[in-house]
Amino acid sequence: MTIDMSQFYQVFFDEAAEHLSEMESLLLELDVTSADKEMLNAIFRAAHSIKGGAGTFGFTDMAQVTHVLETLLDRLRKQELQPTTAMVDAFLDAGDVLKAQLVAHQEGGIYEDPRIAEVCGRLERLSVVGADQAIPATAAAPSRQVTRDGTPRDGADLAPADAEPSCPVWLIRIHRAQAGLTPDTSLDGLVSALGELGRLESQAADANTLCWQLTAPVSHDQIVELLDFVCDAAGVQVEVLDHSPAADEDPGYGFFEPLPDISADAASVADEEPGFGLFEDAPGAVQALDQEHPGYGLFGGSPGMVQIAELAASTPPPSGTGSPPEEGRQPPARRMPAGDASIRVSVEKVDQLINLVGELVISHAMLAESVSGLDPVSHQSIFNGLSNLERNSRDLQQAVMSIRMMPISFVFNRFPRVVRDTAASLQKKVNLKLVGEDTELDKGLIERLADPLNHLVRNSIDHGIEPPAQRLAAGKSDTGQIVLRASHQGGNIVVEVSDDGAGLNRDKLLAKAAEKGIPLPDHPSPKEVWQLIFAPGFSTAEKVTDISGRGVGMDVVRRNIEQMNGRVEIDSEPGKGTRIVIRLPLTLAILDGMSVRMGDEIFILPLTAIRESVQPRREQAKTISGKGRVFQVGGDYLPLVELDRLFSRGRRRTALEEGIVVIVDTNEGRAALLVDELMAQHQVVIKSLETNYRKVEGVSGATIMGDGRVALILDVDELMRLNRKFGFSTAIPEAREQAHD
Amino acid sequence: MTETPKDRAGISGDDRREYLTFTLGDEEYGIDILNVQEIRGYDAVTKIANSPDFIKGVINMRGVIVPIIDMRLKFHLGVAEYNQFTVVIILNISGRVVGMVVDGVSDVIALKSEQIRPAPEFGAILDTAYIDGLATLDDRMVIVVDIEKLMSSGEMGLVDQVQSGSI
Repeated sequence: MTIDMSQFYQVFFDEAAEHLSEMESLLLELDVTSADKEMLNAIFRAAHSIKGGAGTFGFTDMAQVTHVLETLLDRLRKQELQPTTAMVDAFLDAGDVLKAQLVAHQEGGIYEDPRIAEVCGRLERLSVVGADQAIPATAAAPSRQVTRDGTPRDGADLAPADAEPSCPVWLIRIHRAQAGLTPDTSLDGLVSALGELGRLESQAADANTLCWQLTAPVSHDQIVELLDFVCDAAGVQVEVLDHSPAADEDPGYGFFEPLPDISADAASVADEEPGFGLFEDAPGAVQALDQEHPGYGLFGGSPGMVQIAELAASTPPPSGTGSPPEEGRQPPARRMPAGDASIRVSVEKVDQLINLVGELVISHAMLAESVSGLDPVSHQSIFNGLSNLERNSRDLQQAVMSIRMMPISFVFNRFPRVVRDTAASLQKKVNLKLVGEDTELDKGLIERLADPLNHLVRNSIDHGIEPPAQRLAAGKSDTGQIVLRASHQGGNIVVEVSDDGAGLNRDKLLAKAAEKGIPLPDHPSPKEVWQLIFAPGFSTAEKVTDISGRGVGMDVVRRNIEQMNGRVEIDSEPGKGTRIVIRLPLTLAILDGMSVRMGDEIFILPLTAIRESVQPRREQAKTISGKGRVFQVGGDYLPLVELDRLFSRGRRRTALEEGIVVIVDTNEGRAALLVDELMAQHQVVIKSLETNYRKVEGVSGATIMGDGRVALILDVDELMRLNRKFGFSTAIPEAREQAHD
Repeated sequence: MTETPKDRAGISGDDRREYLTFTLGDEEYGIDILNVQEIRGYDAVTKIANSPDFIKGVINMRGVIVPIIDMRLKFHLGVAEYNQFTVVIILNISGRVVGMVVDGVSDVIALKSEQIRPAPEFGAILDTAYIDGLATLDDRMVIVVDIEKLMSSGEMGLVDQVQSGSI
């Protein structure tokens, strides 16, 4: 029987892509001077998984590259080689090659490039060179158990169900003479093996007795087994302590050596040596740290801990002096245990679910409306049932919506690489800081956010951050700083790209605007000036200024963001840097809106666009040269957009003073929108009009109201455009051309 | 949806195809029944700004936003009253759902291809490009419409002819 493997290809492609990006982010995080073994293991596992998959599906070219990659990684993780920057570079290049191969396979082709051979050759050379420089045993097996917090890893899937923060505390006592150890026998191998099990603290002991306190989720037998490799069971005493060790830190401790000077029965002095000096500088360690036990962070259910415990349990201790002859080969990428915590579902299915739940909410609202005429006393059970239904369906809606939510780290994690590469090619020094990677937002948004962010980050490096010499001259550190920050603010996601570069140059922008004939007020506010860089084609002119190029595609960035119902704001200070803030709704599927009435039609106005509403007085509206109308608010004159006129209802127009004016934020600044009435605030499910109809000018979509009727969602930017089209504009003709690009 | 009317006709052994007939004014039209998704009454529609008058607006059909076209307005048969007997034929035109207001649905008929005669250049209230032909049934004349072609045509304005600005 032949099985069509191609149906599984997509799974492989997805998985391989995930492994590759995981590998890349780990590599970028790897500190070559004090490489974390666990990290090397994780990188190895990722490479191995790709190799396995590629082999299974017959993508031999990928399997070959991963094989070479794996060989070197294997030596690294066995501590036979010390990682170097050259290796990391080679790994990254190999990752790129693999990515290219993956893409080629997805398109049904094969990636042929001399790069493949070059990278493989480099990896092979690296794994041969220095093969004999085994790392001294004393430095062996540094196990830095802190893993990046919140980063899902293969290893985390190994977590046994019984991984609990409360681990038994074992007291291990070894009598040197009885255990057949000479005073100068090195026990470093044993110490590191024990250290891998969990938290190991050396207890004060004399020259004849060694004493450790081990906090680890292991059994008595496991410890004895481990010790058995090194010494006679006769001299070993392992017992459970039920008290927690006193937390007295001694971060300066190097690695374990016998302490001859300390009195034998000072067992109560429980010094903690945080990880044998291996914890400092752990990237991301800060996040994982436990409050009470800085330097450990192992027991708060952190994935790294469980992972290590699991690995250690399955692995004989690595070699020290007098250690077991056979080096335990860790099973690399192991299959996820049954009942794994996640499943792969197509986005369409989730969307379908979201739609259905939306329908449920609407059905409920309709039901509630039809029973509202009933007598609450005699139909109490119906009303109770309805209120239960309402609560349940709202909960359901929230739960279903959360399926689509993903941490923004899915986008952010690519940026260390982007920054590294871009900065290197421009000979600039740039440091990237990521803040709030755990912020969750809709998957659809995440995908569409990647490109604009990429653009902004590249722009910041290219045009924001000055070359090192210039920075030093300006009294700044030669390394520029770019911060990517994500956070929730109200119902919005705020993503911020800021740099500490040169900032935007107001005069040059203004000169450019004048040259391009872009209309500007007489005394434009800084925000209005900065917004200029979003004008289409603004920077395609000659490369004369430090901002040229900053606008390349900036209009595309803004358009992308606006398509997601988001907004972009810029803040800049000369010499201090630029900050670009993107505000996005939490999801694409739901919008916070205000329902407004216009005649007998209801429209939804996105809440993000609304600034304020005012009760108009007749004298606030002014006519300009007989055709345009403006509305005076405070000292400003805003274009007055009359919805009924735009939407040609063929009925009498609402008199200004009978309606209400909503001040909205648009692309082109504020505008006054005249409607009949403000109704209520809603969360509405956005439905596309284009599915069965076509794009309607001035409308971004539709939604279904509680009574089952359709309400159109207004697009204020397009309303402005429509307003101009119908000749009621106050803007000058050039601007009209701009908007119609 | 992938099944074409021809496939279906093969099942019954001859080349008969089924048509749903409806009336508009005094005329009777037939459309391929495989394009018909359902038939329902007329609900309140939400008007769409700046659209031709024959597009009555959109309705919510179980969570799907469906545009409604008044064929009488489209074919200039005058404005008809909307009452409880007004019928909307919900069509599925290559995946797009469109509602069509007609005066009434009369019948489902099976026609062989030889029963459908070519239509003369005049006499019908819509462009002959969208007419497959004329069929005689008893003493009634049925105008067989290629509804798929009609609904996706530019003059209906139902579909963005140039798919621009889409991502």
